[in-house]
Amino acid sequence: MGAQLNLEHLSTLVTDQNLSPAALVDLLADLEATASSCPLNSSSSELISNYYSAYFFSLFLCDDLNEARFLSKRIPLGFLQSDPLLISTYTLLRALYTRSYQSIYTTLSSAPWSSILTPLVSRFEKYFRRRTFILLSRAYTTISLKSTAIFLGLEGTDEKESSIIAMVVAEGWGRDEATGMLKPVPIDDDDDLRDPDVNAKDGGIARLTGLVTHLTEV
Amino acid sequence: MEKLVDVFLTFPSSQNLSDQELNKQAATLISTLNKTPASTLASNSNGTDLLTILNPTANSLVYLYVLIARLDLGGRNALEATWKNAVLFLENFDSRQIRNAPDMFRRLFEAFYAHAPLIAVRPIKKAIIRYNPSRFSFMHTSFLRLCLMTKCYRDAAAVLDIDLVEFPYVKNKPGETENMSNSRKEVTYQDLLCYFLYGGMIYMGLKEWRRAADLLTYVVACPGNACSLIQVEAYKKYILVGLLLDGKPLPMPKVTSAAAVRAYKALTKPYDAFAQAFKSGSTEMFRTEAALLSDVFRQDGNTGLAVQCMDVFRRMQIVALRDTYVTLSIEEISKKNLEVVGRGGDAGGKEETEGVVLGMIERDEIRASLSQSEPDYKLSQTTVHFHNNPLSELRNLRALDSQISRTISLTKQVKAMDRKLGLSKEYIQWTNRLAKMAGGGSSLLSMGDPDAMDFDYGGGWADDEPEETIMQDFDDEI
Repeated sequence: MGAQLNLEHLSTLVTDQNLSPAALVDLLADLEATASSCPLNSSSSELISNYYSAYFFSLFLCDDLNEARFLSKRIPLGFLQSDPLLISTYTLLRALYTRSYQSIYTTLSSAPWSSILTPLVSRFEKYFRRRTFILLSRAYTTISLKSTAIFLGLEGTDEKESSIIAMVVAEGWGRDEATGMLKPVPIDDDDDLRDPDVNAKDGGIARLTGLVTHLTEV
Repeated sequence: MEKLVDVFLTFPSSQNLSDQELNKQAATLISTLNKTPASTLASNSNGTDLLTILNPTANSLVYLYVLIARLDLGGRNALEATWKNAVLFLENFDSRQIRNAPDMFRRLFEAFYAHAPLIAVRPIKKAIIRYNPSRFSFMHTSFLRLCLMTKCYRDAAAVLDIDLVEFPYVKNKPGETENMSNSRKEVTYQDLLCYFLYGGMIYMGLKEWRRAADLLTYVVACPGNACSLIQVEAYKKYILVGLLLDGKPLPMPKVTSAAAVRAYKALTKPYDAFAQAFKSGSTEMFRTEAALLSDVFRQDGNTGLAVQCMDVFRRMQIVALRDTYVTLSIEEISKKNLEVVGRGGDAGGKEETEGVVLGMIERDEIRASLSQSEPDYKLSQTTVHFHNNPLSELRNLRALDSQISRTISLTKQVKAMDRKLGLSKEYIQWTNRLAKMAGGGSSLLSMGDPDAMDFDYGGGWADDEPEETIMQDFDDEI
């Protein structure tokens, strides 16, 4: 058991932006044995709840809601339902699972996150907003400003309507001046979120031809 | 004792020995170890803990024996005390050394496995991957059972994703009966069935239906004169997974034994009825059937799967609307009342339906786009436009890419297996017999020669016509 489970270590892990979500999950998963065998008392509960919440968020960043659900079943039920941090995380998990956009953003912005978790929370919020935006671009041909704001969690914030419009227009969306409806344009390449190395299309074709040649040689 | 420690530390004499040399040295060491009493192994040397002197990677074999000796002497609490060392060992051992003492390894594994479920998962996962993950072993089934119990699906998938290409095989010694050789067998028939059933269940948990169906097929089609109950359980899940995957039950694998087919027909009638109702596409009928069978599903522990089938039923019905309509409002869809699960609340309502369709678009289950009519959220009507255009080119390329990589790795595996079998004693004996039967003339040289075989095999593939056609299609697409 190489790594130690303590707040400092946890804090360095979650603030490391260079760590890919999958690598983060792996590192955190290694600590689960220590966390689960750690006796729960008033002094350890802060560490344990921060640890589990960070673990949840790293899974959210991987879009692995299934595993997040299983993780919630591995945590002692009493603790999951009594610790404020874990209650918030679990609420978020449920909202993500049922696609309740309003509830997702409310939880993200207003739940009492700890100082350790804040970097992960904002990282996930950014990621999720981007992902939703790409989905909207693909799924809708016409959408109202109000719905867009709800989907992107900009409703009820200080963000002015004009700035939302400016934001989506900058991404290539059109706008019908007469009705005020937004006209999303598909963003073709949705790879920029996850595997930056394979999104070069030409490279992809070259690789494929290479593979096919290999197959014919077998 | 000190003298012994010196002996221990000199094995292996160097880190890069050939397999043969290593095995020879290991055999000598094992005979020394077996002669050394457990109390000596478990004791300390010069006041220092023997396990701190030994390195779990470089001195794996001795490390293992010392651990076992402590477990033997220490009784119940021994594992508690040596837990850290055991973890260190399982995560770092040298598999080349340990393969010389499989029995000892198994004893450690079983003691470890029985200890505390959740904290054992990751060390065992690492141990399997170190040991020889593509060869089925006694650890595989136990590990999956452990993962199911502790709900560690992600860890289980890391092992399951590695295809098995080898199975341990024990040959009967001359004059030995079936029962006698059983005791030497590393795994049993049931272990294998359970492994694939558990594997299928893990993939179901991860919602990877295609892989789940594959693994269940192995159980369903397992040969034998009788049908195991494990197979019946697998067949029930096989029907449900088929519905989730294709909207209809998967066909019975062609190689299923007659006995098994009879058993399935007799024992899985309710599931068949459920599948028929699903296939009929009638919401009313499906709802009635689902309500009737909820007890059956609960008894079989398949409720979760059945509920997901009901969810999928609705989504597949929405996809089917594509054949009739070009555009359709969300309100019309929700009026069709396709919601079967009966969750209450706003399930089946307008907003929820829009969410469902959005999710389907995200997962590429349907090609469609949505458009809202009014800026006012309350008055707005959302319309679904169904498309016929295929997925984006990039996605196609990526799918093709992963298929080809998989084909290449499979081809490599098959070639390696082919070569290994071609070199095996059994195969050469068989070709020899065949040659004799054919009327003399030793064809051993030509048939047994692995290179000659390779040539035959490779030639057959390269000459295949379809390969060329695939190339052609591929060019066209670009």
